[in-house]
Amino acid sequence: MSDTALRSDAPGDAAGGVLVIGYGNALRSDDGVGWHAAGLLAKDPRLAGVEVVASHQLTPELALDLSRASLVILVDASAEGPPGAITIRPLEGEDVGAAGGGEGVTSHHVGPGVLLALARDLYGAAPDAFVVSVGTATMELGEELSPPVAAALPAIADAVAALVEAHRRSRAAS
Amino acid sequence: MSRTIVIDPVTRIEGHSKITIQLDDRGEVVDAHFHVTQFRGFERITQGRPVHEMPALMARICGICPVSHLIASAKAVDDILAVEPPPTGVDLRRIINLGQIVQSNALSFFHLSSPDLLFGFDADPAVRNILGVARQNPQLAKDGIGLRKWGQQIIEWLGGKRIHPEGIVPGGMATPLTAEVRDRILAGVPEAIAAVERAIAWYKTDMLRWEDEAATFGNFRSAFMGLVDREGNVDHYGGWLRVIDADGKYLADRVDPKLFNDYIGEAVEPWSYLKSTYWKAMGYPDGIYRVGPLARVNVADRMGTPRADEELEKFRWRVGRVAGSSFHYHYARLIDTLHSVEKIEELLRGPDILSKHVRSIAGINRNEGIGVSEAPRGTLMHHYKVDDDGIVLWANLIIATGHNNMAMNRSVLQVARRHVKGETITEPMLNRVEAVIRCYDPCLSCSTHALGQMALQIQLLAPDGKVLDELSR
Repeated sequence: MSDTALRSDAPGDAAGGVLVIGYGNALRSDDGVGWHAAGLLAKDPRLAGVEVVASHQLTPELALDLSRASLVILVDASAEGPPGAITIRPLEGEDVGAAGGGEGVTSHHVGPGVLLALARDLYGAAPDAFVVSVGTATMELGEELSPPVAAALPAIADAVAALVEAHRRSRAAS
Repeated sequence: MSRTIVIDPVTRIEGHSKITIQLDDRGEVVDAHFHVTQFRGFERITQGRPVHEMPALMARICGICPVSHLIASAKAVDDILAVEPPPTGVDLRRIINLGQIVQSNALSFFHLSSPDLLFGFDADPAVRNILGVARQNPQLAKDGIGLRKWGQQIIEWLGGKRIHPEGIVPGGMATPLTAEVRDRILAGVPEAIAAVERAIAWYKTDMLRWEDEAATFGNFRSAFMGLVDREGNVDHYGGWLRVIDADGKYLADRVDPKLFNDYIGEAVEPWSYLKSTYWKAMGYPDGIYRVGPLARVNVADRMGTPRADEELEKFRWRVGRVAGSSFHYHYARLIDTLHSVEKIEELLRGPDILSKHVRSIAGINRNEGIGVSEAPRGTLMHHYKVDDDGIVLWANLIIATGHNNMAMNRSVLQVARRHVKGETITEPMLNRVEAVIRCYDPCLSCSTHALGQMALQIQLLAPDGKVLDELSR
């Protein structure tokens, strides 16, 4: 799978649409669950028209893509929670504020809150944003997901599809 | 009693390292070492692999500069195949390599170094970061994001994907360029040029604030090395090696890069996994030289594109014909980026850029091959030996950060001598030691072939090796 936009012709084309970013290190077994999920989501008919990006890590230039979307869903591995357990949390203002002096602002990659803050501060954009976290069993070297995390992939797709559907309904109603 | 300061880990660079600073009985700095503490060993793990796999394998060395390794590796395999890629294949390789230079240079200047330059080296780290830049100077942050994006898109559109592209293959490129992709890239050129020129204008008005840092951030006499074309312009893809001394006198010119082993030696120190390369004629450790953007602008007669040449003239007026301070890597990196954007446009407007002939096919015709190109951080060398079936028997890589290893150590020593006072690690010293290393934008993942993100550890050591003070970030 490529580290790239999987559905649209070019990154950043999700103007007013939905952007899903699955990220993680695909060579570190379960850490790559976001990467694997992105591959599945790109083929999911429920997500037709959604831009799906698979990435090793979140980098500052993704802020431009976020700024052009109305809904952003980030799928990532989590060291917390049982293997395969899915947690969904909205990325709110407090996450953004806390990110100012926190993790992910001093290196080649940034954290989700910083990315959203960059989209807001630089481009005046405030997309709805959710983080879908998946509990991991192992992050040792390897390209395969552990059985419980691999088994969670359909549920991850369902969770993302449900968020997209709710967003579409909300947009249609407004 | 002498003492040692250790900085561990170093932040905002790629990889893991630590720094030790040795004090003497009077508390004066006598030595400093930049230790690279990680190891990957790509030279070893590629043994036994078919040589056609080498470009794709070598791209895995680095998630920041995979294209650089693809280019040098593909050139080494071209050498083993004894083929010359079609001219359009070479031009497409040049374009994707320059796209890599643009995005990596943008990362270094806008995301990693601009916080120091905007807020000052002693500003609160909670503000001195990319988010702080976005709030204080949003145009600067936007320009960095825009340049990164454009460079990444070039890589993705020509190479197939953004992080580990596969379009660069032995013998040329996998697929020709389409008119649609050419026009899409060209559409971004005006804004890319405007973004770099805004950054250069900002840097020039701001640089006077940093006279003290420019005087002490790796400000010493050394040689410089880079690739130049037939006319003496910067050449990021091919051409010849040129090496100059601190006065601009040629130590070597028009050297076939494939002969680099005749000129460059490699030394190993027990305190680091990072090899130290040196100019053989001057011996080790006197044969210190630097590579990368500063070396490129120092060794070349001109950049070879109009806007970059204009800026190069101003650069030389401000800092001299051969800039000796590593602080000027920042300024040189911007000029290097401007040239890269201009050169991409020039190549894309070439009459044959849409030619379908982009790859030459051949079998194993030699048992040894060398590929040399300019990566964002400097001259990159891949050297392979294979058997008659094309199975890799041996590989050696010389990476830009290795060329700069001795210079980085000397720079840390200079900053430590300027800023270490007493037996404790002070914030101003820590900030400047980190910053001087970032001037070189080292990629330790490449240079030691290790995994991970760099963090900083500093230790202050007594003459007997006892740790007097320690600080980590």
